Amino acid sequence: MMSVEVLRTENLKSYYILDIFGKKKVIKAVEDVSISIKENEIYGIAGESGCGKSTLLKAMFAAVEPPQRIIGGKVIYRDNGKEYDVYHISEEERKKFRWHFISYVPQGSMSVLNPVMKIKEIFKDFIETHTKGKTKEEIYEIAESHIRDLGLPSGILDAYPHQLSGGMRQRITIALATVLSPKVVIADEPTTALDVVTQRGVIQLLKDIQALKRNTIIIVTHDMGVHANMADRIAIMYAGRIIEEASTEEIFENPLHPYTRYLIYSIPKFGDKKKRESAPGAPPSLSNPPSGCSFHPRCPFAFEKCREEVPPLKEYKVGHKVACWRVEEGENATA
Amino acid sequence: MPLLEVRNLTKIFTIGNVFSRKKVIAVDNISFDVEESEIFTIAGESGCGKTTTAKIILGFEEATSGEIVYKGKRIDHIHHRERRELLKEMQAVFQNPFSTFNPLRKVDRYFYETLYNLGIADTKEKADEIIKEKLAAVGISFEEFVEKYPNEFSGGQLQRISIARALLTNPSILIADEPVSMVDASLRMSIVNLFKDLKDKYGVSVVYITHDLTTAYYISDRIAIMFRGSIVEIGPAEKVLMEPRHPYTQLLKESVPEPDPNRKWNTRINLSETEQSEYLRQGCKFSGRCPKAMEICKRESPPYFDVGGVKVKCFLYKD
Ligand SMILES: Nc1ncnc2c1ncn2[C@@H]1O[C@H](COP(=O)(O)OP(=O)(O)O)[C@@H](O)[C@H]1O
Ligand SMILES: Nc1ncnc2c1ncn2[C@@H]1O[C@H](COP(=O)(O)OP(=O)(O)O)[C@@H](O)[C@H]1O
Ligand SMILES: [Mg+2]
Ligand SMILES: [Mg+2]
Repeated sequence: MMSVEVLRTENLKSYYILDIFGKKKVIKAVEDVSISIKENEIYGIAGESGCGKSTLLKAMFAAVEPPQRIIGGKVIYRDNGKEYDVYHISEEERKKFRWHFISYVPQGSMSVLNPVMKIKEIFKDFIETHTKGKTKEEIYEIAESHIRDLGLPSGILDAYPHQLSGGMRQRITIALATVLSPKVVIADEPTTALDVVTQRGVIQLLKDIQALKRNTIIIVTHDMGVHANMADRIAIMYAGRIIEEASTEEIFENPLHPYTRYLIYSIPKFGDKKKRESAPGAPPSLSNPPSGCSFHPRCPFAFEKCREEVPPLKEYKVGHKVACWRVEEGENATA
Repeated sequence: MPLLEVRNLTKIFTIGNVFSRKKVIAVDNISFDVEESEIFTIAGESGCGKTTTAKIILGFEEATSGEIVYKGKRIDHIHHRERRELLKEMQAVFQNPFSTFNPLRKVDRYFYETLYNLGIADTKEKADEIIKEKLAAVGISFEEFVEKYPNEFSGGQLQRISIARALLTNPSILIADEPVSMVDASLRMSIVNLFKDLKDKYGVSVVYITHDLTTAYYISDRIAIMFRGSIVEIGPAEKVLMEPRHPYTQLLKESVPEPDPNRKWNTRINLSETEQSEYLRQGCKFSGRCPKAMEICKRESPPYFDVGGVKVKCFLYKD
């Protein structure tokens, strides 16, 4: 399949620079991330909390506010065959991309809907702020047809946020983020605080949107079950870096990084009581990451090189990239 | 004799102010037993009454009606002193380990305090010995534990420490309310395995409260599925989860996303818009969403029917 790129990062680095009583503290939340996301795909990002997933999304959406900073690298948007280096254009130009080309459903956004506004007013406000020259009637019409397209009950437009269940509020934030038909939708943990049945409704909605609008969805969650159900490709993030990337089938059938293997093999399944083990130890601190491969203190296979050098993310098989010295050695041994 | 019996437990909360009062039946006439050396799971979605049930068992909340019986003796309405004695045998593990410990107090202080106050140890040597033993059971070394504040541990480590603390009194039963839902997926199984070890090695019973059916399947002997205050299905975990009978249990199980891209969902579901309406519903509370609802379900609340060793609260199994 020929796939066209819609967004990519090149050696992206984004840190939090904090000043604590005059002492500088640097949190290396995104370290040297290069990913290429295609038109019309669902791209999943997995990893435990604090590994830098939200930081990466904010950097891709170009909504970076102090103490977060872009330390190096690029974020490129591709729109109508043209490339835009997002951090090298003016804020004016950058604004034009927001919500029209790329949109973002932040973590926990369902709890920030304005409680004193009806859903329809929230839509009106949003559309008014981000488009020009539309009458009130036209705006309501856009909101209504969008809600209808997504299969949500049209009655919700007249409701206040508190009258709706958490799952419905989450679906409304997703509807809002997609109302201007962006090419790329970023959703940060859209199902995390939800019950399984409600979660399933949200996943159903995201898949419907993708099928309807033929856009790209970047979804972050630590739930591998959600990824298995939705994503076309998955990136595994650990301590600020992408340590493995492949198609969803490949990640689940042939995980190569020891961390990914723990992630996948530790999930219990119905009808199988085989003992499941978590990765030993605890995730590292991003202000003082371990030398070499950041997983080495927890890795049962670590050897000298892992403690000294950071393994590069390398493609060992078409479409399957891993950052692991053991995989590299194995490759060299069989070559 | 079961270790713990919950009989006809009901809890009604009154919400609102003097002008508009509403009643929420958070727990609606539920009964179950927990045997010695058994992992009993209470599973269900948020708001179904799990925490309220746990709090009443632990004596943190008073029941509206019903009885809690421990080793044959009623323990709802006991005096403060008896309650303190009882807490040696019945310990709690909560969802958020960071809220269990004061952030400004070193974690080891809680351990010494418990041991001295309850008269389990009277010297530092004896206390250290007990602490080392309990930490070993949860896989934490004494050296990495002493003289540290809560925020010096990861969530997974601190949850294991809070379990070690619960073990100090050699309890017979642990009431664990969503003990892994705040722990990262990659560390979750280390905690879940711990409960299994405690049961296998020390004969501890566990009431494992969760919304996660796969870990429930992995560790529990028996399970109760709750929906809007009622237990809708109860029996051996193997039967309830491998061949769920109640349409709600079926929906719940089917909605767990499987970590297998070859088994994506291919059916669609309907969702309730609000939760309140279901709590107040007449008849079976699931009837509004149930694909198999009949006329009677909307009028009457179903009794339990015995289906091959599983009790199911559903009219589909009448006769
Ligand atoms: N506003 C902030 N200020 C300082 N540190 C932050 C801020 N936001 C996140 N961090 C830190 O950056 C790291 C990555 O965080 P985040 O990107 O939110 O991770 P994830 O989304 O994977 O849970 C963590 O160590 C977190 O504590
Ligand atoms: N103190 C309280 N006052 C009023 N309502 C409450 C209180 N505690 C719980 N509830 C209500 O009781 C129901 C059950 O809650 P809870 O036992 O916390 O469920 P779960 O632990 O399964 O999520 C919910 O509808 C909740 O809003
Ligand atoms: Mg995040
Ligand atoms: Mg609860």
